[in-house]
Amino acid sequence: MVKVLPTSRETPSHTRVGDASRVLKRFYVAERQLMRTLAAWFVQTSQWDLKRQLAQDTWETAQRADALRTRVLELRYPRRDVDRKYDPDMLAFMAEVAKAGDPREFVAGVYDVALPALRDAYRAYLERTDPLDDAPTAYRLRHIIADVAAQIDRMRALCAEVFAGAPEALEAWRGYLRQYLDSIGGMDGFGAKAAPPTGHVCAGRPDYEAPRRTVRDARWRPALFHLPHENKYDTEGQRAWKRLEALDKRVAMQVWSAISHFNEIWAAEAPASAMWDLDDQPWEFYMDLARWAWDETRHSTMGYRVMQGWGWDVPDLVPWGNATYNALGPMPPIQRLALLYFYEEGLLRAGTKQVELRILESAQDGASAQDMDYDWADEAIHVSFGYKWLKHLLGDDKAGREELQRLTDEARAIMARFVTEHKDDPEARLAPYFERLYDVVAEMVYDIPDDGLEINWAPVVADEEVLEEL
Amino acid sequence: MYTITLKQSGEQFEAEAGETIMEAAERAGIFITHSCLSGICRACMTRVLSGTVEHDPDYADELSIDDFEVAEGYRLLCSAYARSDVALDR
Repeated sequence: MVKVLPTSRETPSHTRVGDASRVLKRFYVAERQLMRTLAAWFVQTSQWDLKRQLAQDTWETAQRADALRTRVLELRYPRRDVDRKYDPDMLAFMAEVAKAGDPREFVAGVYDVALPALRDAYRAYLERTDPLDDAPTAYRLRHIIADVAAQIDRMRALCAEVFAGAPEALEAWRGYLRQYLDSIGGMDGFGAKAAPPTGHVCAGRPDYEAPRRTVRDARWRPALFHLPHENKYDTEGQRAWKRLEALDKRVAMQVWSAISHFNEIWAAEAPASAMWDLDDQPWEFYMDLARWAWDETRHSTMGYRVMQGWGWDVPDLVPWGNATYNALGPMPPIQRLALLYFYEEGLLRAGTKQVELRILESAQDGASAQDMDYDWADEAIHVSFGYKWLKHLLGDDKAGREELQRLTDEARAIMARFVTEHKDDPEARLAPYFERLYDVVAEMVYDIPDDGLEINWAPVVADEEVLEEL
Repeated sequence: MYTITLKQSGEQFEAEAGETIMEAAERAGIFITHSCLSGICRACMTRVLSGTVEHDPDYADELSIDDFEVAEGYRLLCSAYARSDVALDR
């Protein structure tokens, strides 16, 4: 026999450091995979309101995953293993979530099954853990729970607006995912395990792949390009644009900026699809690309907000092109990122954003100027992402830089070929848009004192150098 | 105090010790393309034609510029100091 004092309080099971790091690692894996899945389905989804919400939720999910991962590393968890040895049950469950048949099913699986289960598991962890010993986790989880709850509420409200009715098939999908989650012991893995529900009507679907082509929201007419300068062969479109320029270069800049911003969605789709296609990169890669995709979606939303603010019927007046992503889509993910980086670095080095901002200020368009100001700040970060990760992917040496140059040159040629192959498609004709738009804009313009700004700005033809060579 | 000459535009300005070339240009009312002001976006990357320009030693390793670019004379002006009179390819 030995002598001891009694314990000063009762401690529940599964609350020691090893338990905490194991459960939090599983939560991290769940959020990480959810983030990648949201990114891929953002590319796949065409409905605009839903699409931009998925981009926001992708970034927010990345923040949660990062907070969990950081905490795991504080709990004597080996750094070398935090991004290895992912729980295979959780990977399998999240792979099933990705296999939804369409966006509506995907949203039902994520926001009615996966996220509520995560929220409940976080609450259960908070109930169980010691608020003093594990205080840093408790702090993070309180914020994470609020974040997840807000995502669920927001998406459910959006679905009520976007989708009519509630097909029975959705309940079958939800039921399948709930059964699957039960079979792996729930989100925290504490439940009894069982065989996956392989006999369920929703089981056995093929592995999900991110789309190589995008389709725009059905409210818009199909369009390849968004401004006539993307397609130098569209002389009618350019002529229609010139009428807008003739009103005033400032007016042209205001219109250009809004339409251009709105169409930046392809620049979100490129990093988002790479997040799915590349599954073995350092964690910071996903953090940065989630931010990149969300920023570009914000820029797209900025343009949309400006045009709505002007009272435009946006789907009728403004083309929403998909040529850029669809030309990029079949390329390897690194090459898609290389082309995006090339475009964004080129814009910054040419000082394009500053010039555009100055013209918008000259137009006294405070809203567009502020949007452009934040866009410019975001793009500077994006160039740093591209610089850092392309070096990581291709090698931080001369050979790596040469490969980046080769991939970029090839991508530019592919893009230029896409333009020449589709230049006469009906969806490539932009004159009808700008003819309709001219009437609307001409009705809206009004006089302000001339500030004397000398405006040399002219729309830049997308990758003019390559197009000239063809 | 060193004299900075922009060869393409023909503009000149003075840079004090302790101020970056970008700060000196701004003080002189001369516009040089820039964005991040932290050496990560490469918007201000410029080739030094003559003179000595040194990246801020406090964060030279964190700048978005390759060793071979530095060897070829390029500098990020938002994060670099003149150490002599300098001519820049701008």
